Amino acid sequence: MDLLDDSPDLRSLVKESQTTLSLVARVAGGKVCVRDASDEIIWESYTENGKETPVALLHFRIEAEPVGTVSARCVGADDVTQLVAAILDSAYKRKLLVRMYQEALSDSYEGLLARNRELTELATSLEERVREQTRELDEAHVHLAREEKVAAIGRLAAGVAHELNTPLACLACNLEALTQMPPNDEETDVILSECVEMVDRASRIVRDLQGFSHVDDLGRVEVDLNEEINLILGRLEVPSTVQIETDYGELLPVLADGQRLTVALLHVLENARDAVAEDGGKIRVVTEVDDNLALVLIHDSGPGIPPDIMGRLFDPFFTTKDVGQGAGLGLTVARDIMRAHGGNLTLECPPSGGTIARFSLPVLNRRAHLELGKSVLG
Amino acid sequence: MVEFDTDEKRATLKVVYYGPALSGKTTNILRLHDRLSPESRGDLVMLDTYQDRTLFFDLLPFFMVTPDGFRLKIKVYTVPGQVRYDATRKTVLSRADGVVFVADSQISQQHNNAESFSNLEHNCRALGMDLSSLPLVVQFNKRDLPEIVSEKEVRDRWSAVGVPILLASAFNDVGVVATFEKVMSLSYRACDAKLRLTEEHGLTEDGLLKQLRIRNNGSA
Repeated sequence: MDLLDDSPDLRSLVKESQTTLSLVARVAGGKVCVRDASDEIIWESYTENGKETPVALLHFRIEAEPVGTVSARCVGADDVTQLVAAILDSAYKRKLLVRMYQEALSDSYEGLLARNRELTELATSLEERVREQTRELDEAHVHLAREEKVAAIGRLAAGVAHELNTPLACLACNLEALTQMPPNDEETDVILSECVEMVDRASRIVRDLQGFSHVDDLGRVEVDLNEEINLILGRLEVPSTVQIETDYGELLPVLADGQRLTVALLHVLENARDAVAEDGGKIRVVTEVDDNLALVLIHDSGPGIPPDIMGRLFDPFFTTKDVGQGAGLGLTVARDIMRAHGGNLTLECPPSGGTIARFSLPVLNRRAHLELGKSVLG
Repeated sequence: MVEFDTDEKRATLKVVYYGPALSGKTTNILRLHDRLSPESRGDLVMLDTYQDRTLFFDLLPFFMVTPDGFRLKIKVYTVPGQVRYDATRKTVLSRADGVVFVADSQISQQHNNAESFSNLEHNCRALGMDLSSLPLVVQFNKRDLPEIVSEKEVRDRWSAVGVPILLASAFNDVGVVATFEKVMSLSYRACDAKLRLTEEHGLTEDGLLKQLRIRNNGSA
C-alpha cells in the first residue's frame, strides 16, 4: 500500500494539534471552531447554546481539497483563523513526513533483512563447500598415502633384493671356485677374505634395514656430541688427500641413543668423504649452540648437490652411487633417527660451494639435566 | 497505480518527477505552481530541505470535481536526486501513475543522467512497476546553459526508446507546462478506461488539461 496516497484527514490533524489550539483560543480570548466539509463541528474552544456568529471564516484545504472551515470570534479574528490554519498545516506536514520516514525506513529494513538472508545463505553454502572439499582432499590424501606406502614397500623389496644379490652372487662364485681348488692353495686366503667381506656387506645391509624399521625404539642416555664426533672421525677411513677440520663449540649434553646417533653421523660423514675423496678436499665439522638446539654442521668442499635431485635426497633407496656402493637408505635413516630424537637433518648447498649437512638436536636444559642426574643416582 | 474509490467517487493520480541531483525537478514544480490555475491547485508542500536540496520530497497537489461530483486529486511529487536517499526515492515512486524524468542537458552530467535512469529502472522493478508501459516523459532541462548535448544528439539517442522528449529551461519557465501537460495526457489515457472519466464522469482529456491550465498564456 502506498502510505503517501493515504492523505491525513482534518479530524486527525485537529486531534494532534488540540493543545496548541486551546492555547490559541485562550490567548485570543474568544471562540474558535473547526468544522468539517459537511459543517459538523470537529473542535471548539467552548460550547455555546444557539448558533454562533463568527467574525472570521477561513476555508481550510488539504492537498487542494476543501475539507472544512476554521472560524473565530474575537479581537483579530482573521489572524486567529490563519494561525489555526497554519497550525493544522504544520500538523499535516509532520504526519506526511512521519509516514514517509516510516515507509522508507521499513523498506530499508526489509532490504537489509533480504540482504542478510542472502549473505547467511551464502555463508552456509560456503561452509558446506569448504567441508566437502576438505573431505575430498582428505580422501585423496589417504589414497595417496596408501599408494605411496605400497610403492615404498615395492622399492624396499627391489632395493634389498638388488643389494643382497651382489654379495650373494660373489659368495656363490667364490665358494664354487673354492670347491675346485686344491686345499691350501695360496689364493684360498684371498678368496676367503673376499667372502668375509661379502658377508659383511650383506649383514650391513640387513643392519641398515633394521635401523630403518626400528628408529623409534630409542634407549637414551646423556651424550657429549663433541666426544661422539671425535670417536666417529677416529673410525672413519679417510684417504690422505682429504683434510678434516674440526671446530667444536661448548655444548650442553644431549639426550640420545648413542649408537643410532653414531649411525646417523657416520652416514653423513661417509657421504662427505665420498664427495671429496676423488679430487681431494676438505671436510669441516662444526658444533655450536643455537638457542636450545645443539647443531652439528658437516661442510664438505665437494661438487654439491644438483638442484634437480635436491628434493629426492631423503627418499628411501634414492642413491647417486654406483650399484653396490650404497643402498640409498643412508640419509633416510639418518634423518629418521634425528627426528626420532626431536631434532632434524637438512642439507643445503651454499653459494660458496660444497654441501652443508645440518644436524640439530634439542639440548638438555638445566632442569631436565638435574632430573636426569637424580634418576641416575636413584 | 491510481487510487480510486467508486463508493466515495474519488480518485488520486500520482505523478513523480524523477532524475539526477540538481537537474531541476524542484524548479519544475515551483514554476508549475506559479503557472497553473489556483482554482484547482493547492499550496506547494516542500518538506525539509537542507542547503536548498530536497531531502524528502516536494508535493504540488491539484484537486477538481467533475460535473457529476467525482473528485479527482492529482499529486505531483519530486524525489530527492542525491544517490544516498534511495529509500525515500523508492517510497515516493511507489504506485506512480506517470513519471517525468528530468535530465540535465550539460555534457558533464550525462553519466549522472544514465545512472539515475538505471536507478529508476531498478526501483520500478523492485516496486513491481513496468517502466515500458508506465506513462513516461523525458525532459532535457537546462537548455539555456552552454556546453550542452545537442538537440539532434538527444533525439537520436532517445528516438529508439519511444518516449516523448521535451526540451526545457525550467529556470526560465520554458517547457515546464508542456512537459506537465504531456505526462498528464499520457496518465489520463492510461487510467481513463479504469476510472471511466470520460464515459461516466464527463471529464475528457481536454477538460482535465483545461482545469489544470494556466492563468496566463505564457511562452510555453
